[in-house]
Amino acid sequence: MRNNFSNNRMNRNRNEKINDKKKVKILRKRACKFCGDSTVIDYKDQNLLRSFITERGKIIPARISGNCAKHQRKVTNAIKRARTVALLPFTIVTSGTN
Amino acid sequence: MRQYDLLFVTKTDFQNQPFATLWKKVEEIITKDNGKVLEFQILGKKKLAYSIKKSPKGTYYNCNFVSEERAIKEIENLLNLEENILRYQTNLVNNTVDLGTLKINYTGNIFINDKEIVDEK
Repeated sequence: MRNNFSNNRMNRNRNEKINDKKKVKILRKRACKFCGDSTVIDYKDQNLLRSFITERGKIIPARISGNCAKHQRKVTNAIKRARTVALLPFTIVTSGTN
Repeated sequence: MRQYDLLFVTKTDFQNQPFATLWKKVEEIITKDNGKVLEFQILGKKKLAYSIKKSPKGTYYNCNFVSEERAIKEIENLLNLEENILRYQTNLVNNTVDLGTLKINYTGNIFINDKEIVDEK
């Protein structure tokens, strides 16, 4: 009896966790940060561009950042320009990785 | 005439007078064919995202100017020969430009106070 009870409880917990994961996936699409705003995307603006790269230094895709195609193109170009003048890194190697 | 944006990174000890002599040469090339410097900014000492020529820090200068296409090649040839320049980048801002419509914020006397360029926080 006890085993049955504990099993049921475990299953319930697992189901709740799965449901939570599903809930996270259903997100509203984020609006483009630059549309309707007059901020200029400049390759010298380190702080702005840093919000569009990951901890590893990779460019965050538009699917996640929510940028529209036009502004995503401008952001990627700006990041690539900033990388060549050492304002942004190409890669960030964290300790404990090869 | 075209509008360009030039950014260069120099070694941190390459400041004031030595840099001013180099900048004069660049300015001469720009103004040779009726070109004009619109703006010049010292962006300051910054930590580089990756070390270049074994130096972890660099001083950033930014310049906005109008000139003919051929000036760019001359400037780049000049900057390539200079050891103290770590990186430079020229970007095209505007393809066709009317000089009369542009604002000129460049006075020419940038290096009057031989101040040390301070590290950015």
